Amino acid sequence: MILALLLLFAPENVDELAALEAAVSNALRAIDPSVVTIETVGGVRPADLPGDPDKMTLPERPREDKEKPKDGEPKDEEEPAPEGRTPRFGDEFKKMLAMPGFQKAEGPTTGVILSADGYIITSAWNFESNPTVVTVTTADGKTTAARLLGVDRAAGLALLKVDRDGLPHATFLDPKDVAVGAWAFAVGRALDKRPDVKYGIISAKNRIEGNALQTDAATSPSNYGGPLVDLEGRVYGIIVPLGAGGEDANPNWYDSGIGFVAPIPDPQALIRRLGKEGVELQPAFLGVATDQDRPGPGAVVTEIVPETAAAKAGLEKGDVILAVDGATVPHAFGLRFEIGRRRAGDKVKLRVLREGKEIEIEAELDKRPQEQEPTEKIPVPLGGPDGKEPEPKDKG
Amino acid sequence: MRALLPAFHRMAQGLPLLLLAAMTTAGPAVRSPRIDAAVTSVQPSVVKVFGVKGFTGVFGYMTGVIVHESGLVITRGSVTLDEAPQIKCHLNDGRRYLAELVRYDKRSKMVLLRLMADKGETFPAAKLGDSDKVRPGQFVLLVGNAYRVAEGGEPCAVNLGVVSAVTKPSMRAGLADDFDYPGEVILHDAMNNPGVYGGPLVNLDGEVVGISGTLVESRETNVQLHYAVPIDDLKPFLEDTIARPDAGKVYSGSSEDAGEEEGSGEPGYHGITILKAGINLATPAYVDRVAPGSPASRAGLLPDDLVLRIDRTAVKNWKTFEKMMAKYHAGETAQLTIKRKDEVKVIAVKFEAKP
Amino acid sequence: MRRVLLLIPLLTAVAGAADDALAAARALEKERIELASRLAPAVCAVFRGPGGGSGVVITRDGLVLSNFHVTELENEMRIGLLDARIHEAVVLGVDPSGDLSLLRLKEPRDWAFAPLGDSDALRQGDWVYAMGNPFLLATDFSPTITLGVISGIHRYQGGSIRGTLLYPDCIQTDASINPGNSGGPLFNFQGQVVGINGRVSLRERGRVNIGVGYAISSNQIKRCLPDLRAGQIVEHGTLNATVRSIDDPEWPGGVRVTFDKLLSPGCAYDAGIQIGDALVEFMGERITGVNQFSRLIAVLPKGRRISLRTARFEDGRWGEREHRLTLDGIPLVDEKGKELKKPPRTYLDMEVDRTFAAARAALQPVAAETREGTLTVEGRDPVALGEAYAAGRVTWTTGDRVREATAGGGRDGDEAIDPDLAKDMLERVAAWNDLLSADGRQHFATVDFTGGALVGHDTVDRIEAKTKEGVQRVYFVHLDTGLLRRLDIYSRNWARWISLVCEDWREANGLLRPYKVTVWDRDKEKLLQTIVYTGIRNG
Repeated sequence: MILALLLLFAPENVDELAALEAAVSNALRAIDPSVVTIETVGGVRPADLPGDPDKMTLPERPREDKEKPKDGEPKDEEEPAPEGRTPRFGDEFKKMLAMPGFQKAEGPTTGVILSADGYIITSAWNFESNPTVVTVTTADGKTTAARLLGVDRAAGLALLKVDRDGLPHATFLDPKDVAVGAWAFAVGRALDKRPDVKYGIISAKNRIEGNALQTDAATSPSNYGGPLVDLEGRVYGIIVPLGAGGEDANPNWYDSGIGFVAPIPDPQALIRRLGKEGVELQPAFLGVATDQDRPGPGAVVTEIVPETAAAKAGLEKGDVILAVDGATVPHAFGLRFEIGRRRAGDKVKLRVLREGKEIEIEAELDKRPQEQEPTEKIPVPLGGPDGKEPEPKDKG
Repeated sequence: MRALLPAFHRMAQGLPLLLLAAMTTAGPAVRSPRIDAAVTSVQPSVVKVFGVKGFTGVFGYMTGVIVHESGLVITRGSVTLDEAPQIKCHLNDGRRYLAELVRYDKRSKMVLLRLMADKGETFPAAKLGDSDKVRPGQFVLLVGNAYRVAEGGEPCAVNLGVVSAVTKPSMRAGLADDFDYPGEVILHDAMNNPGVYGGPLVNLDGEVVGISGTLVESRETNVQLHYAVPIDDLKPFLEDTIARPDAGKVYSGSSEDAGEEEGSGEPGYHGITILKAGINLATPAYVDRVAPGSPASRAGLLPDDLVLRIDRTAVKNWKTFEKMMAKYHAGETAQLTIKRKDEVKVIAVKFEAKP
Repeated sequence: MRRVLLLIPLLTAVAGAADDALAAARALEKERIELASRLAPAVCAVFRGPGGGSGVVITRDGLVLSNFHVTELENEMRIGLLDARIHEAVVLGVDPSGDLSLLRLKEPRDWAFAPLGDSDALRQGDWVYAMGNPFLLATDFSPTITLGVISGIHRYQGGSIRGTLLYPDCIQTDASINPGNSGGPLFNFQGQVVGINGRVSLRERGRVNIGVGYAISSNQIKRCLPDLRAGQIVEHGTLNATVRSIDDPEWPGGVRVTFDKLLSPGCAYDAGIQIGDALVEFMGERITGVNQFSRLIAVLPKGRRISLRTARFEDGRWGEREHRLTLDGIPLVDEKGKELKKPPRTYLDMEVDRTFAAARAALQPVAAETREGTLTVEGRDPVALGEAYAAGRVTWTTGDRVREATAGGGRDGDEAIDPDLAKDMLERVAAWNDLLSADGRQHFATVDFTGGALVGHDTVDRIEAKTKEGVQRVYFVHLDTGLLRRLDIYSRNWARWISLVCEDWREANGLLRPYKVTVWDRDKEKLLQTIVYTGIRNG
């Protein structure tokens, strides 16, 4: 018996798909208990709000702490927002969210258990509507109310907490150990509480300013917030609706085979950073322009943006940045990814080559200045023949 | 010019071949033998179905699969077929037939066509699998004529995917209006497209495990679902049609299915007054009042409870609450998932006749 | 007791099997990862202004394939490679009808490349990788790799109304192909380019993948590669007529393909074909459908002689007739129907920068010496260049007769050319040109590599040597095999074939050059001219 089974899976004459299916089946079994369904109730999609999106206000949250009038008077979003209250989520998103057809935070989505004591990581996409109630249903069918803690804008992640113990948590991979071409399975638990799986591979690394791995497995709200797992059920990252050029994913990106996952190399570190209500991490900005045509190693500084982290730290034109916190910078893009992986407020140690000498410079990364944000033009892929449904073509 | 051929052969035995050999041994397999075998096995049974308008042109197309050697073809029912004075079926071997619509399955919206062939002519029927054994993560092939890429004897396109889940997506709130299959379906990630409807979903043994439905898109998120009706669900339809070919155009299934039909009549009474707030419907479903002695009161519902779900469907706001509760009739029970402070609990409310 | 004992090994076996399945899956996954990493350096991010697409390096010396709709008629493009750097490239030739363009990376060096494979060897269900730069996501130019299978081969996808961007014989795949993937490679799992991804079927939702992508097949590409390398705008042939299919149970196969529109003037119209005539056979192949016919004709160049058989219904029966005609050209128009001008010579000049010019520069000292009479020409009326091409072990031959055997074990029949030598053929032709014209004898106005020619089912490189009197044509074998097919030159003036033999190849300034050129009549019976050159010195 043993012999027969061993022979069946002997690598020389193994049936690849049989081996794969067996491995995937085990991987799903391994990841399943730590994949949860997240549902939200209430809240306002900014798209629903009337009027000028710039003047929009969002209802307060959490709702249940508030005294509710008993007479059924209209209230909530019809009431004027309290004076001076800052909306919970960035105003910059509103405009985009208010675009016609841009729909968010609807229906159940997926999350992954980070730790046994109830930290759950998911996509920030699910909370754009500022929901009144967030519930988490675990694989065993138990539903619990959850608190929304911090949000990481750069990676599109949100941290939730439920008051439960002994939860089965997932195992996460460091993106350094991930190879392009490796099998990848996207798992969601948004359809009828059962996990659903979609297959693909790791398509690329270092996407979205170094914050994401790319996959060709189908991604959409049916698995946003869910895990992309390897053949052993280990998590490459959390499926997030990021898009090119800072664009968030919209229905046009669903299932396009262009999907992104935010890796979580260190779950405990993530909990430490996001484990407080109201925390909102922003993309980091160093404030240098670099020569992208120059071969590495290192990134050559061609310009310093005044009053940015770079200027404050004393970086100069002509400096060659060789390493960030000990990680070598192979070329200009390498610097971009290293900075991109960090967040505003992070301190970095830069190893810099200046006039033939290596020096160390410390810098505290800024937020991306407002006016800087949209300057980078989103490049346009050149359109193909407009592939409409082909007409019956009779030609010679 | 011919004289040059030997030189080609000589060359072919030389360096390029060595390179090729080196490449093939180093790399992964060019094709999976099982996919190859499955494609080879199912393709002869796949039929390109065209609804024909008058004499001039083709205006609708889809995919079918031969399920019986007498020339029975299963495909998805559609207007294309209903309105077509002529249905045409093209086989992979180049044979073309007119077909007649034999029977329509109300439950699955699938139809059976019969190829109008000479007496005694037989057709390669596809092997039907056991859809009960379909598991998430299993590889499947979806075969179909997406965008009418194939016409005559050209084979239909093959897309590879995995089974995502076997489930009842109709339970999920906000799904497309036109999706009403009452049973579990096979969800998969092989892309379904216009033209593929009615095409077979095939396992790696070349067996048909499902028949592709239409593309379903969620009204809310625009997520698209690719689903196939499990072949086991269709076997009674097929067997009954073979056994009783003259039993009428419409197959309504066994009597058990009738129970799944939606009831009619007055909505039942529950006694909950929901908090109606906001013209934009965004206010969650908070219980405002519970009528004393009403079913809700007896079940223990309290004012300020927030209703999260009715049975398995999420309640987004007060409006959806009202809409959904109106679907229950006296005697039926709804499981309400509610949130009271930080506690989430399930309360069963049994509807009564309106007092 | 016994049962319990039996149970334990059984469980172990199951657990062991699961581990083994994982180990096997991992081992096979490793091969896939290695293949992906081997191919990625050959994949290009191609930029044009603010937009871009993809491409792939197909030769060691830096030839890059992309889509015409990516490069259009630009002269220069910027190409990002896996080294995270931008490299300069020039557009050599374009094929608007077939949506192809060929570029060359300017820097002379060994580039990572992936060779063209055989798209006819594909089967439905074969594994493929699509690579490229969808949505221009790759800030560091590392390609996006998507996995899929072959959904179909020999697919026909109609082009624009004007006949451009036609995919007559394409590969269908379910690998995710999106805007920006255009021009990128579709790889088989042998690591060969079997297609260039160029278009997708779309749903109303937007321009993203829905699992139906199309790639121009490598075998179609191979046919026009020489034209592209020569800096041509590839012109496709047409009958200037359209056909459609009619269901006709009486007709063999049940479908009759008939002519329904004819343009006048047009080669079909001029041949006497009428509307309603049935198309029975095209180039010896029985026509059973419109797509099949479209596939057959779309790969033929303008000016190609073709045969077809039609049938006309007269007096109650179908009477068949034979036609032989020369295909018209599909007008060269862009997507909007605007006519494309012939490319300025800079396309070729750009290549000259890289290759011909290098040869020319190397020949400068030689040109000076020729005035000292070191180049000898014997005989009068040199007609044109001929057929044999000898360099060490290389022989150029006519199809049926060989007069000049090689020094290195040559024999009657055809000889293989060392692929490395074949690679440098263009340089050699340029060297010829210089040798001959530097002599001051203007028999040969130019010797140009002018693209490819269809010989049987193979496309070979074509070199035209133009004399003052006429045009001569030379056939080569494509670089793939390094084999020579034929080298014939036709002089319009003398209306006969002649042959040219280049011998005594020696290296000079790093390039091989013929030291002796003899010109023969077609049958190699009569020596017309001998050119002996002694003045090329190394260094």
